[in-house]
Amino acid sequence: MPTTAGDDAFSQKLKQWGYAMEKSQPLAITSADHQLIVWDGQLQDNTVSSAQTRPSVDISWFDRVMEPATRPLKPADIMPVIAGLTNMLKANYFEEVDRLLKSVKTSDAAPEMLVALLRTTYPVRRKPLRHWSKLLKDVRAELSARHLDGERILRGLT
Amino acid sequence: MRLKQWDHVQYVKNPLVEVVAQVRFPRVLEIDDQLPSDFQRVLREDYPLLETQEETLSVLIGQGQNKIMADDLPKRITVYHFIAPDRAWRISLSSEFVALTCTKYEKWEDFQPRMMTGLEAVAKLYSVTHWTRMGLRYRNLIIREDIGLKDVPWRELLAPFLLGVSIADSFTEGDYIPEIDVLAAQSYVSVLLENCVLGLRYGIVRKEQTGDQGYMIDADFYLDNQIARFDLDAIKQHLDRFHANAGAVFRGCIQQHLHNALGPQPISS
Amino acid sequence: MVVHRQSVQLFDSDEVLGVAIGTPNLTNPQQHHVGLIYRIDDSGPRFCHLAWHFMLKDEPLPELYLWGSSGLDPVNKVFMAAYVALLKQNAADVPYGIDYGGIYFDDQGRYIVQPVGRGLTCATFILAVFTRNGFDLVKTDSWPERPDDVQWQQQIIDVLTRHASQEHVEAIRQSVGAKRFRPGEVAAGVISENIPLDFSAAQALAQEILQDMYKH
Repeated sequence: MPTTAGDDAFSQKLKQWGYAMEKSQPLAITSADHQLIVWDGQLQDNTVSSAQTRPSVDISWFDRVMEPATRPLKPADIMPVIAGLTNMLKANYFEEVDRLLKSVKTSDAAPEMLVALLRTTYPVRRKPLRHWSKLLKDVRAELSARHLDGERILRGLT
Repeated sequence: MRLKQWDHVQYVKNPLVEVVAQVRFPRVLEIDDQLPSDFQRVLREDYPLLETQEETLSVLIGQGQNKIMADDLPKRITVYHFIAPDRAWRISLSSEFVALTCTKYEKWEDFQPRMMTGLEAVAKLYSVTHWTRMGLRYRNLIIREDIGLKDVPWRELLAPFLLGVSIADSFTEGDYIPEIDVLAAQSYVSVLLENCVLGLRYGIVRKEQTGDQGYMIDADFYLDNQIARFDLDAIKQHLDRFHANAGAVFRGCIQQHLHNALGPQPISS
Repeated sequence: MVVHRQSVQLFDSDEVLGVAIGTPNLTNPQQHHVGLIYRIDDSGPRFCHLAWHFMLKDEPLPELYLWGSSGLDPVNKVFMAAYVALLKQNAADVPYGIDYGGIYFDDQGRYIVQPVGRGLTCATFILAVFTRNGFDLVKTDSWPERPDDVQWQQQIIDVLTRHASQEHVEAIRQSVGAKRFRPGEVAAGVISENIPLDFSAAQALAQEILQDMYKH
């Protein structure tokens, strides 16, 4: 197993280069692939960890969810959250989305952000997102604590 | 094996494209289970950007066509990449490792403290007690056009042992094997050094869009299969020792012509 | 007034979400078109609507359209306005179809490619967008099949023959007679605070909308 940070390369320059392969050969040998280890003269085909990494997904938008709102939020404030979540769902990052939902501190987030999390993930609330229902429950309680009309704000979400 | 020592230099035309340090530890379930928001808080000022990546690890055992998966289900872990605004530095965290990657490496004195910051945060927040693998990897990419050596053949720039069969001139009727006839050449060798193992990958690389040719010298210094105490001072010393080998390995892989063309500047030890 | 002419009352800066209804073809004033009006920040309002077969548009609100404010609570108005603003990225390939039913957006927020002949109208597109986010604007089960919708459906199919594949048109013909959710009725669902509306409530509010449209 080579020294990596979980991917083949971070450097944009490095990503453009690959070991030259003659056309009839299979896909390029990457750093996570076959390694013939010569040790004391004996050739060993070692146990190999083949790391198949998926492209990185940006979750920097999640910071905004937890930022206390100093003014009423506008739709433009919510759009990065909806877009970020939708991109993760498109890439099938369901476990990661579930973890995000689990990490939400409802007391810190503005109601619009909480609603954005719940409604954007509403179609997948049953199967892949185990923490959706818990988040709904927590948001309901939080809205009540803030004397907001949780029934109306969360209507339709079951 | 002890490496031959060379004068310490820094190259003006730095061939290093990426340097990665990684320390692996037994899986910390807490990092799998919850977002590492405390870890992010420690790093946020210098590494405000965050990306995540899912890594699927499947362990294959056996040889050739008989390879089978060791587990029924590959395990999936999330890697959190905390990135500096200039995207030259990145600290990565998963439930099994912490790593630092640099794409504009200049000197160890810049790199090492950043790695220690990541390690200190991991030790403090997750009470990691042992490490299992530690590595420091220097990835050099030599592009002749970039250093004014456009028409100089590799055999005049690189140590013969790197070029292997591609300079086996006895194969050819002519005086030497034309470079253009060498379609692919890459190798890996693992060598025991005084204080670590060196995994050296090297070979011809091509730029995907243009087909331009370069040469990669990828030196990975590591210790593996360990159950060692997660002692920050000890880890620091290991990394320092790994680093001390890097210059010597690279210098041993190149010839004087290339060394001169890269613009060596002496640095004090 | 439940809907407002822009020359009389603008969709002002406090508003973020509503419905816009108008007559795209002045020579056929009975043909109404509906879409969602939204504002994401201090810029002007935008009009997101399914203009026609594979023609989802997002543009400034045309002058002659009337608008009504969404009946949702303020929090959800902000959310839905943001969602609608992003729709063009996710739902660009929506075919026209007269038979509404089923699921139109997948779990990743993308429009699901329907079987040939299925699609949405300007009105049912709005229903689908709201349903995807947990809001049923109307009780679809309470809608009747109305004989006078058949004529409209046949007319629209005739127009569609110039824009859609023969296969699509032939498949749509099989749906003639299906329940029709008229633009005014769906607009009623958008502006009502008491969703989901059953057919009679939607019809009543739609009448008010039409009266406002024809008042000027």
